[in-house]
Amino acid sequence: MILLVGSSSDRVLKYFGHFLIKKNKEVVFLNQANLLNKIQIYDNHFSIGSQKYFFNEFTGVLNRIVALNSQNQYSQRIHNALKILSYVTSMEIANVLNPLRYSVTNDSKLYQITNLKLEHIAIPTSTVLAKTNIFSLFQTKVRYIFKSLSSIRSIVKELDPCNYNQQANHSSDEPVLFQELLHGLNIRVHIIKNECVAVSIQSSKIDYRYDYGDRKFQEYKLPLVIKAECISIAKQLKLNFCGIDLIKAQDTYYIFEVNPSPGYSFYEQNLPDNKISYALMKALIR
Amino acid sequence: MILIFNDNHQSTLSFLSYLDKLNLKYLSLTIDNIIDDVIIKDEIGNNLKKCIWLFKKQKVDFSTITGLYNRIAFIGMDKFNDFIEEDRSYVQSEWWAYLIFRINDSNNPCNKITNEMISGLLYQFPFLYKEAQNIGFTVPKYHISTCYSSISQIFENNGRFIARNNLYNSNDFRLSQSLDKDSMALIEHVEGRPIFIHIIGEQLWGTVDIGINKKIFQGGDTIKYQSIALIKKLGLSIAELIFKLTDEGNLVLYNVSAFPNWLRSAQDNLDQIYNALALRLLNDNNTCR
Repeated sequence: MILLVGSSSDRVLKYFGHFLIKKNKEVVFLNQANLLNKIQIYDNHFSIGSQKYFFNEFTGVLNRIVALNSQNQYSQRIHNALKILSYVTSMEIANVLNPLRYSVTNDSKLYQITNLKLEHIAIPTSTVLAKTNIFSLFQTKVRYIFKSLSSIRSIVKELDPCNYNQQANHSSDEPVLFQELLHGLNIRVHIIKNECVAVSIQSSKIDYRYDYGDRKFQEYKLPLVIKAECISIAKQLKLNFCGIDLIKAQDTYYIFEVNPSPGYSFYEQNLPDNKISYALMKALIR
Repeated sequence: MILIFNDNHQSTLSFLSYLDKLNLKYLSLTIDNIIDDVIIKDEIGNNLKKCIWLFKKQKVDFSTITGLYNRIAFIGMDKFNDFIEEDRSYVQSEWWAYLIFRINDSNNPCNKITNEMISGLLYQFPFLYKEAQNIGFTVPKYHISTCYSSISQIFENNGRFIARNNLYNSNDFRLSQSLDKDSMALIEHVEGRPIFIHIIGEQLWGTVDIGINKKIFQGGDTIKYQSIALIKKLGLSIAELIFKLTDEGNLVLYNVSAFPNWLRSAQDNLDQIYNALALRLLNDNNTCR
C-alpha cells in the first residue's frame, strides 16, 4: 500500500493519486489538515482517530507535508500533529520519498549546490550582497539575475542594465543572491532512485515558470556523464526523489538548485507520456 | 582569528573571558550585530570563494578565520520588526539561508548547521531518543498523542511522567503533578542524579550534579564510544548530553544539545574544556579530533 501525505490542495498529490488509482494501486491519502486531536504513535503503528496504520504495511510514502506558519492555538495543535507525522515518516516508516530530515537541503540553495562534489556540472558564478550597493556588479561585463537564497519561491529577474542609474545605488538590508545570467537551455532533471527523466524547456523568458506563452517542453537526452552526475547529486543529498534545475550554456551544464519536493506534474503534463509517474510508482512499490 | 556568533549566554560569555585571559584574538558578533551592522560581499564560483564582511569598519576576511564557534540556533522573527509584516517571514528565511551557507562554508565551524537542525528534528525528543537507542543508549519510555483523553488516561493510570505540550527537548525533568489541556507527550520520569557529558571532537568530560556541588563523573569506555558515535551520527562536533544516573548505576539519556552549557561542568573540567575548544577553534593540530 502506498501512503500519500500532505495537503489536499497539493497538485502533485492529486495528479499522482489519480495516476495510482487508474493503475489500480492501493493508496491511502492523509490530509495534513485533518489531524487535529487525532494522531497517536505506538511501537509498531500510528493511529488517526480509530484507524490504525502499521508502519510495515506501507511499501512507500510520498511525503509532501507542508509546514504551517501561524501563531494561533488551533494551528499550534495542528503544528504539533504535523511534527508527529513528520517524525513517523522520517524515522519509523521505510522507503519515504523524502524524509523530512533530507527535505530541507534547499532551505539554503547556495549551501546545497556549493557542498556538492561535482566533476562535470558547473556552479554559476554567484555573489551575495547585503547592505552594500550593487555598483560593483555593473563593473564587469557579466549580466546578473537575482533571486531568493532560501527555498521560498521568488521570480527570477535580471538586474537590468537599462536601469543602471536606478539600480546601481540600491542596496538591500537582507542578503540577496545574484547569479551570472546564462543564456541557454533550461533542463529539469527528475531523479527517482536510479532512474532519470530529463525535460528541456525552451522559453524566451528568464523564469520559464512564468512564461505563459510560447514555452516548449520536450523530453531531453542527457549525456551519460551528466546523467550519472545527477544521480550522484541525488545520492549525495540522500534524496530518492528530486528535481534538479540545470541550464546548458555553451556546452556546459550549470546547476542552480535541487528541489527535494519537486512539482513534477507541471512538467509531465506537458509531455506525451507518464515516465516520471511510472518511475515514482515503481519506487514506492519497491 | 576566531569568529564567534554569540548568543550572549553565560556559557558563551564565560568562554570569551577565557579567550581574553589568554590574549587570543577573536571577533564576537551577536545576531543583532550581523543583521544590523554587517556589510556583506560573498562571492562563489568554480575555483572562487571570497567572503568579506565589514563590521563597524573592521574587515572580516573569512579566509583568515581559523574557526567559527556558532551559538546561533535560529533567527527569531522579532529581529525583523522594522519590516512590513508580509515581508518578515521572507527576510527571516533569506537571512537564515545565507547564514546556513556562511557558517557551513567557513573554516572549521563548531557546530555546522545540519539537516537535523534545519528540519528541527534535532530539537525533538522522539528523534533523539530513536537515534540514541540505535546507538545502544537507554532512553526513557514516552507516549505521544494529540488526543487529550488518551494522554490523560495514561497519566492517571501510571502517574510518574514528565508532561510536555510539544515534542521539543527541554532540560526540565521534574515529575509532573498534573496535566494541562495542551499536554501531548508523557516522558517516563526516572529517579536519579543528573549527569552532564560535554564533548569536543573526541574528547569528553563528565560531571555529576550532587546538589550544591558538582563532581567529575568517570564514565566507562562504552559511554564514551556511544556518546561520540551519537554526536557523529547527528553531524555535531561539540555537544552536551544529559543523563539520569539511577541508584542501580544505569544511565538514561534525556537530552542532547548542540549548544552546550559548559557551565554545567565541574569546575575542574571547565578549564580543560575551554582549552580544548580554543585549540579547536585555532585549528591547532594538538587538539584531539
